[in-house]
Amino acid sequence: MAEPARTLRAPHRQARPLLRRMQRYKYIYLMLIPVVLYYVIFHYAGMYYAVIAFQDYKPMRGIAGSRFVGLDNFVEFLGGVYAWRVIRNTLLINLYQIAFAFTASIVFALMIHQMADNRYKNVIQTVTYMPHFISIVVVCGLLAEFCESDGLINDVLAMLGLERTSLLANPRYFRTVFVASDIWQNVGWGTIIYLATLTGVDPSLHEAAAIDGAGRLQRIWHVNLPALMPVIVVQLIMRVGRMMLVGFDKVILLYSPATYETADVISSYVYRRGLSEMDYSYGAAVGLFNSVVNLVILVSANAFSRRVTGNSLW
Amino acid sequence: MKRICLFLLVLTLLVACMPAGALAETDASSTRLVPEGETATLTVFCPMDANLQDYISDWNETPYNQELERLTGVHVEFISPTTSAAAETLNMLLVSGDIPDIIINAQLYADGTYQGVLDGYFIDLAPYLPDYAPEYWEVITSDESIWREATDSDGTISAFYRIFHTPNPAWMRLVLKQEVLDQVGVTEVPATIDDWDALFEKMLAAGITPYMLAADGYEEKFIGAFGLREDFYQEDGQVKYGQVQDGFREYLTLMHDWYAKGYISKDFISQSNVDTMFALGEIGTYDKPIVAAYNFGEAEGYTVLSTPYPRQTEDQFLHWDGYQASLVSKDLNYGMVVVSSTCEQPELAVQWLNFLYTEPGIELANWGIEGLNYEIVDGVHQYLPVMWDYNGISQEGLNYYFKMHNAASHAYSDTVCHANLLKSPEATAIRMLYDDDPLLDSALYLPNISLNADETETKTRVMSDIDTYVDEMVLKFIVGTEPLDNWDTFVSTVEGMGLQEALDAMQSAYDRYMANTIAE
Amino acid sequence: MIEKRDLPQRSLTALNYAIITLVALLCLYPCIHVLAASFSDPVRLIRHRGALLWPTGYSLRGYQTVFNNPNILIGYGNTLFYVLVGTAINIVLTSLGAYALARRGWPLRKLFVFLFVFTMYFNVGIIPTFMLVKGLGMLNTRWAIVLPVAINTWNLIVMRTSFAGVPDELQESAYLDGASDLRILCQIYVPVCKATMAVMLLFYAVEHWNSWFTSMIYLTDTGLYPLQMFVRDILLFDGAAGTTEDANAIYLKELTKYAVIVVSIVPILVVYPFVQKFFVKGVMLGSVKG
Repeated sequence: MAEPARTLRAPHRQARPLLRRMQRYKYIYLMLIPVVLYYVIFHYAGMYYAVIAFQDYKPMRGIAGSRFVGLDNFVEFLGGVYAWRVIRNTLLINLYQIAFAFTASIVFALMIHQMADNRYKNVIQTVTYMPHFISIVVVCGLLAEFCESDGLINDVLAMLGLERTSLLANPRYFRTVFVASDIWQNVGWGTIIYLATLTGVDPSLHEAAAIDGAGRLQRIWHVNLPALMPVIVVQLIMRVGRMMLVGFDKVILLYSPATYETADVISSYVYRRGLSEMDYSYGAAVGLFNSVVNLVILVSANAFSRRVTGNSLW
Repeated sequence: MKRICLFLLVLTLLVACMPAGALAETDASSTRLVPEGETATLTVFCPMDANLQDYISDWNETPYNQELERLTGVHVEFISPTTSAAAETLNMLLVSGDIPDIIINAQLYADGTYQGVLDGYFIDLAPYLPDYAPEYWEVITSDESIWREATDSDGTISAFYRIFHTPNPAWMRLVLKQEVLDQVGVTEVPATIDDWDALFEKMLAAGITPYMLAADGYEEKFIGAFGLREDFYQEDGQVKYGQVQDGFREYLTLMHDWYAKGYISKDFISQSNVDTMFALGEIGTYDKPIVAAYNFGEAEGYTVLSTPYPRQTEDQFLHWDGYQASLVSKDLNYGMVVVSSTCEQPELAVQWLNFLYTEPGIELANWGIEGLNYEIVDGVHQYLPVMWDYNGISQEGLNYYFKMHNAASHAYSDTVCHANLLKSPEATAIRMLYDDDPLLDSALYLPNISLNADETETKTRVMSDIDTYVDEMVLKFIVGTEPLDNWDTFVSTVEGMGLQEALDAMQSAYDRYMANTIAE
Repeated sequence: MIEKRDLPQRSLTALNYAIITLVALLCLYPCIHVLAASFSDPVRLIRHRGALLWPTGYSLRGYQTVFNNPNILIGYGNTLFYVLVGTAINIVLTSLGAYALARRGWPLRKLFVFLFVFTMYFNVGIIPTFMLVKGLGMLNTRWAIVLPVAINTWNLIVMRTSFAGVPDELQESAYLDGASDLRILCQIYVPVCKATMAVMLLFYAVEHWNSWFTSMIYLTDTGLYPLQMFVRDILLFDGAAGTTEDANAIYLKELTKYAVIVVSIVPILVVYPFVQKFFVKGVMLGSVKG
């Protein structure tokens, strides 16, 4: 308000730079064409097909010829017997993963960071990153072998005096197997980012703490952990933001009717009902519900974090 | 690696040369469906049998399909997904609109072939059959019971079926090893549930896991002993749902009891390598194709025993058996075939399918190629040794290589032309053992009824959730994570999910089925 | 740094080493087990209980079965195609996108970053995506396997961050020399950021190597199946169970599983050590917020 004259002249002043700027960045636009095409076609155009969530879609009639049913599919899902179960399972598996797998990497990174022998450290890193690259198909094949009641894991359990049981057939253990194998596969990989951050910690902080008489554990607590905090928060939000989308192919490789009770998640339910049983509209509706909930969780987590810790994704 | 490549190359050459070199070709001029010099092409969906997919990658590599092409003059482009992805693949093809002309294994269409016609995916074969499939038409109009099974109630005919000349004896039995019986001191194979219980107790004491129950927890042979069948069945014309009957609770009680005692393997839900465990004597019994088990035992040096269907008492009359029920087979993998609505030459497709109901086609599907894998000695068909051992292909695979074991054809019973049974007289005999059980019929069997659009909609809507729920609960009851005290809650939950609606739909379809008579 | 190495501290160090070593062994063990099992005698393998550090008996029959299986070879060939073509497309598109997004002063940068990152957290689900692929006429083509995953947004952001670290002067002087943006990208950015490029290559390649789900839903022709689909069949489905009466098929099944695992992961483990030293850089960059 203080400079009205400038505001008035603005249109004229901006018109030419805009063109000039377009001109200046014309190669940028050219280079972006394939990239934007990719996003438009494979991510944004797909939203058009989401309309079948509101239809009674019949492939032979096409989208144009199928009946519009409004929110019927959503109502059927949310009113059905399995809605709560698959929502609960989705949330629980993810919460367990965050509680155990996510923290395991942080702890492991702090431990590796304490190692003085660099060569050994390198070996450890090489070995523990490796499982990350093994395909989920193979991991699940291995799990099927190791989880049998006479399999390796049960051998260990039996040594500890526990009862042998077929781990993948029992709904009680599904989440444990799922999360434990996830830790196995990703604990090392997850440390990378934390280790890199820790290398950047100012050594004088440690020295100061040592002079103050802080033991090693205290220094980890008061120096290393705070240094990691911003990274942890960003990682956590990103992880929470993918809450409803994660681990689905592993679920459909590992679960069976015997473990649906704890294993069936929203996306596996969508897959079964939508693609296996050809109930496309219903599957699309449940999938859309999933995505919207996911977005809500992400936005809330981000807002929460910004308010509480001051760190956020945007 | 080089050696392997060379080996593969030689293999390929051998396969390529063999049919041309070794046999006297039969004249194809009378069997060709397209004029000499012309070719026609059909696309056919046909999942690759699991026994074969380790050895070949395209059905056209098999002598059977090469001969079929030579005889009919019709070239086939196969779409053959692996069995584990077959249902998804079919769904994809249907939704993509890129539907193959012919779909073999059409029971993969979840709502049934009749609904597939109503949905517009498959054609109604009825207008084509009399003219383009006279032999098939003759078979299905030869008998009221065949007609009912092979047609849909409103005059539609949605599929070709495998139809037997004579009934096929039951091929799955609970199998035992003579050596194990000797070891635990039992002289007779068990006849009653109490016998089984006693045997299991002795097996367990001998360190053998007695019984590998089917992974889904359903064993029709024990369920049948309680006077019912699983899923839908009919009793005196009334359609019932097995899993909520009192008899089913008794079945679950028995299974839970056996599970708790350790008679049923703790791994039954996630079982694998069961054949090996049985061969090595680690498990006592399981449900298994009897001849396969017997022949495997022969080769490995132990004796496999077949068992009669379990009963509560020795004089109990069993009504659940489905093998005797009909000459029309609708549960075998390849025996159910449809023509898609996008097929541009439905007449040709129908003719091609009909070929397996004509003399040369019946010979080909049931026996194979004369001079290559069988010969006729004094008017009797005899397999040549290649039928049991060829190029390292598994024996069962060869049944889909030289011939088409489960094809939708006019089929001979396994006892006539199955290579595994013809391996030895004993192999045939063990398949026939107990087949003459006088206290057995198919009274409870629900025939191949076809639901109309509304009925299908109702059944699918209701049963999709019920099936999931029931299958889970069955396992929980057996394992004990759900106490059987909760049975009544279970039944009322299933009823609350709308079971009666599905039963009503099935009932009206059943009534229509029974009223269906041969078309004029 | 002065540190008083008293007893508690020392035992703490020892404990730390012990736990870390244990974790590493746990990560390593399954691989050893699989390798040992794959060279074992089939029957002894089945009877074997407990840990396996060395083959029990010795036989190559598992590998023979695997290499005699034509599908495995077909799968290998297809996977190779998807990895090569797919990764090439990935790298080109990702670099183009990253270059634009890293371009200082470009006014629409923030908007596009948002539009791209948004897709990481919101997707329409498998059914509409399936129908989209169908609508594009890509069902049952190789394109369905490589194009829908042409850009991994996370990787795009990583590369952008890496590009943003390239000194301005390099770019400016190139401009003054009259170089086009494309040339600057190829001749300055890519060489300068070669560590990131290496990591991206590995990430994309591994993603393609391990992918199976898209093949299951988009492909109907087994001739186009990647290796993982056949591996899945062998590992998780007792396909031939039941009717077979073949000793080979029955006894070898377990052994074949292990052999096929080895065959399917060896190529990755061979490439992995060469790229491993770049990991820290690659992953670190991705953590910087978009």
